[in-house]
Amino acid sequence: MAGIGGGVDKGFEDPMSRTEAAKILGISASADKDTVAKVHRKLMILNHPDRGGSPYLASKVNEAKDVLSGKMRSNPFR
Amino acid sequence: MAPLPSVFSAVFRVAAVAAPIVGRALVDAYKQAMINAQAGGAARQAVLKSSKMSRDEAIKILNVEKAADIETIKQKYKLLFENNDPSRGGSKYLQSKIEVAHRILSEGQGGEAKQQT
Repeated sequence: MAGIGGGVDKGFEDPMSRTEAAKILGISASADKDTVAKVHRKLMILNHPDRGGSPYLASKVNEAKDVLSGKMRSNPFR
Repeated sequence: MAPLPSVFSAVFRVAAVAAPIVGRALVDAYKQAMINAQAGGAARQAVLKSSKMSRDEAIKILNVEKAADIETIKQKYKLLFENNDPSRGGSKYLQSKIEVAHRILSEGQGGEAKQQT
């Protein structure tokens, strides 16, 4: 959305772009599979329901991994 | 009239050429903005909505009930925010979304609305 600029608190993109997926995982969009898997695992642990994690955030982390791995995945929370 | 120093005249010439182009661009942009604004409140709402985080999404992010009280919201926010701290290997981006979610829900409560630019 080019119209509204930086002052607005934005939600997650829908559908998720590669750029956003990379930001969610905190890595470069061109990172290799091993890096993606490593950070994905870490973030899933941090956001695990047993730690009081939010299922929605966990789904975003999963979606980010899928997007960067080239898979399109529908969001179960829609 | 004595000729202007060459720097001034060069700047002046560039400005003389650029000004109408910039002016035209501004006028066109303004016109488009007016058209967009008149395209109906619904369209405008939709544009705004798709940019700013909705309350529904904020609720999902913080994993709270719709009618959660401000204390519960704050506790969930703090936990998630800490869990996703970069020093623990968390992502700043996720952390910022958590923060935005808290801000959105705090505004709605009429409670501690932290306005940040």
